[in-house]
Amino acid sequence: MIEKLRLAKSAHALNDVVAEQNRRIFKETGITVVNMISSPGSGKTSLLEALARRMRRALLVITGDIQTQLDKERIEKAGAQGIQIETRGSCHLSAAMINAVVKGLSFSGVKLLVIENVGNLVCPSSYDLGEHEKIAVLSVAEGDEKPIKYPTLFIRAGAVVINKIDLLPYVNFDMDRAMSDIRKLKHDAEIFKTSCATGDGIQDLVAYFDNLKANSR
Amino acid sequence: MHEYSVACEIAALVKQSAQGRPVKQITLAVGALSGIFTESLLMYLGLVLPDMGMNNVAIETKDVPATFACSCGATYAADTIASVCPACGGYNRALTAGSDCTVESIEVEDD
Repeated sequence: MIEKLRLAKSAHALNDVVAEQNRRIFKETGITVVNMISSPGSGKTSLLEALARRMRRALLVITGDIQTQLDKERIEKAGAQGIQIETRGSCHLSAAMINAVVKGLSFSGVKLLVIENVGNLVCPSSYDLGEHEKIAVLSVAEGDEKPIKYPTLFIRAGAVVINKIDLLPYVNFDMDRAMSDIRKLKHDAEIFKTSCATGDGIQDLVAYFDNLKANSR
Repeated sequence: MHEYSVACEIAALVKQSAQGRPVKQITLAVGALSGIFTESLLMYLGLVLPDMGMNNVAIETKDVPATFACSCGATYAADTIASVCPACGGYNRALTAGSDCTVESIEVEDD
């Protein structure tokens, strides 16, 4: 006899169950958690080094790459706590990968957890990891059309960091166009303009994370 | 997008839902703005399902158009994610349907 079972579940349902488990773990600790997503080379790790120099061990970074421990080493050298996930081929981090490293973690002294996703403007945006917010990073060297060309991330990102602004005199980046397109995708996105080379905008980012923390309680 | 990853997720969800019973059919709803190409997904499901012990599974797919709900109260269909509300011309809108790939139902064989 054939039985029809109505599921009406997202293809990502099993991931989402684990994401909620992660969310419960994070809520118990009271830390703020953000999922940082961008293409490779936008400056995510450099931004995190700049945050690390200010926040020290109050910042924990879980960083995902296909392979190597390089990002973890950079973040620890800059003064923050780092955990590396090597995905060995997966183009995005999943809730299960995060769960495996945070289950049983003490989070001692941590106020902010940044999950630095695999460099990829498409796939990571579909996966809930249990974060409070997705943060998109876009460097001015990548072009002002990036948001409108890669909307699946920018419709979901509560904040967008436009990075490497020290390069603006040397690249063809229309800031007004980029910001306008970002707002067409998510009308209330917070937009930050930063440079790791000069330090511009980094303090604004720190303040944003502090407020996110306050609002999340 | 990465239809192989999504196929693996669907297969795992179906297997869990079937609770040991043979799966005969899966109905999927693919959102117009989900980023999923149905043909690619079907190809990978054809590889992944047998790997997980589910053979000869019939797959039906339905297309789900994208629907938006605007803060002005209007709801409308659009085929682009950066749609502008036709009622108020604004961008304060949310995608209410068509953003995801969903497993609507499965058919299993009861002993």
